[in-house]
Amino acid sequence: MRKENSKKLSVFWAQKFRTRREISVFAKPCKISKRSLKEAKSRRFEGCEFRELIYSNFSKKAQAGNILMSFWFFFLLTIISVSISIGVIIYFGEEYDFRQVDANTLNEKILSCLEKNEINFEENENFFETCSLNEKVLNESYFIFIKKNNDRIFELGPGDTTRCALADKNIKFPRCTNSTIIKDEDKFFIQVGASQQRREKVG
Amino acid sequence: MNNKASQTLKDNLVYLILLLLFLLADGYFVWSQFSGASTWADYHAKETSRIINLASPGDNVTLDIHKATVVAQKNGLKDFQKEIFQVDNQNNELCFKLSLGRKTCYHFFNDVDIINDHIELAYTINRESKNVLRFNVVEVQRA
Repeated sequence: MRKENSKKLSVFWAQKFRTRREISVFAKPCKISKRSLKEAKSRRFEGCEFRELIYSNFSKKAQAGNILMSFWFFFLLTIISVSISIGVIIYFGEEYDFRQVDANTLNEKILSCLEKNEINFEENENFFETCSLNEKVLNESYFIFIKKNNDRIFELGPGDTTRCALADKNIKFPRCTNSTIIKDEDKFFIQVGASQQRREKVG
Repeated sequence: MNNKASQTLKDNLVYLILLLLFLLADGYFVWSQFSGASTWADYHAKETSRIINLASPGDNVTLDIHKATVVAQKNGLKDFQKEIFQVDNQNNELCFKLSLGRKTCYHFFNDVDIINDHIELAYTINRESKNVLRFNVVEVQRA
């Protein structure tokens, strides 16, 4: 009787999980009894001691091959899925790089402002107000550096002249624009960097 | 014979379902990228910020955003006036929303305010009917 039960059980597990290796992965140890066998048939079986099961009526080699193929199936699905995603992200996800244009626009604006106005660089507010620039935005993602006859008179925002010089080496460094203006025999050197990126928001 | 075939189908059913799910997920991802909402929103936000940065108080701006409206319509946006273009004068930020639940924002550094922003449908430019965005640039009004 016991032998018959074991056989039935083994056939059940063989149909369910195909190989011995897989059974040991999916099931927990338990004792084989008539009740557990009944539960096994109704899929409420918690697992059992598989070492004692008699595996017959199915080819283990063939089933192992089948399992091996299913690993390949998942592996191929993953590879294909990841490749498609990476390709699409590279093609469509690239941001429209606007930093150089931003830096040029800001540089132009400061240059024109310096040309037309007398700015007191000791008071930051005077500079922003006269040139109609928003300090908060500039402080966040722009870099401004102004020299008057080799003296630093103004510096603002994240970044520095080194990062500007190395902009070609690292895509994350700000894009910069330099310009020079001579006003009342004073030479002004203006360096502007932009590193603003788009922000995706939920809304 | 029929039993064998049906058994084979049953055995592979789980794989077929997984394959189908995978194809659906990947297809949806690629299709959502093809609609270009993110790219076009990015483009319009940055170009509009440039226009604002170069503008002076008193300027009235008219921008051709026909492509943006087409993409927005494809993506199921209904209220063009309120949804496509949004501006936050407090933070000097403008946003373009061309797909449901997501918008792309960008700062403008020119210290001005944007008022009366609205979209005009079928506006005639060079004898062509286009959808345009119109707004006025004014001096900062906040305290």
